[in-house]
Amino acid sequence: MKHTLSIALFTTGMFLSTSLWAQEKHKIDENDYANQSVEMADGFRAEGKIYVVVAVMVALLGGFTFYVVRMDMKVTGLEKKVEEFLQGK
Amino acid sequence: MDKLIRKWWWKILAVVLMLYVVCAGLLFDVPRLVILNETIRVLHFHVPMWFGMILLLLASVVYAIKNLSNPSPKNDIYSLEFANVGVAFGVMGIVTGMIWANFTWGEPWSNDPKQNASAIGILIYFAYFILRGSIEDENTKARISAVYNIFAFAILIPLLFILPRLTDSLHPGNGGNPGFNAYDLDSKLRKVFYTAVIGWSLIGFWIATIRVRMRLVQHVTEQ
Repeated sequence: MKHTLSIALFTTGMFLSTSLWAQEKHKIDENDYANQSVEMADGFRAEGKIYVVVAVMVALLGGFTFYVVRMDMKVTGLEKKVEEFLQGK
Repeated sequence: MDKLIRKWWWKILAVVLMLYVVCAGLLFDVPRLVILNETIRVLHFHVPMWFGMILLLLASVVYAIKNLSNPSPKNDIYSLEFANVGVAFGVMGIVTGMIWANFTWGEPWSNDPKQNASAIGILIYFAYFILRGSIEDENTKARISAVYNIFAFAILIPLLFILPRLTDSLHPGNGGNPGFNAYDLDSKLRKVFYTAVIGWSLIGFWIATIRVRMRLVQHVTEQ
């Protein structure tokens, strides 16, 4: 537990320190959100086509999750088998 | 750890977080910035690869140290598989970075210090697997690769976090580049970004623990 805590502290410290070194950063504010001079995919979004992309990515995520869950369950089954075998011995 | 890797709650959490990241990352308002345009959303998918890689490789080196002080096949297997998935994350980080760079920096590989350093870092870890494959004796393999793992991690940190900052880099937060100024993330982007970091890392740990468990079963059956 002590080790886990010190590792966690070390890691967060490492990531926090990276932001301290950064030089002259441009602060993003509300003006950047309203800046109409920069071209974005506004038309694409207005037509609702972005939801096609979202649907595809959610489907992919779901498919891969299903696959990994099945693998996890398969390993659990194997572990049980090994345990039963060891106890029977 | 042995119990935790067989629990479901954090795996469900990983999937829920990733579901949020995909939806929010594509749909939420983002700042309209020159050069980046809509590709700023790649932030939620490219950068977490590196965070995930560092966390996995950190876990790997922790188990390498554990294995030196208390040698056991289990510690060695943990160390190996965390490194395995960590490197996979790194490779995906480089590939996604090249696709993003092709759009924002004009070419996939501009010999940016951070690009070069991360490529060297990945190569150092490739050598780790080659080293493992070249040693027959299990005990020697575990010991030597644990020592190498510590050296690899010790060189990776300056490669990724210190050296790129000492020179001009196209990456945000490294040196001063006039073409692509470093942007400071605002709270709206941070919310999705940090969720992405946690979600992606958990996915990485999930895959790594499945590989660990497979190897542990294999190890028992071989005995």
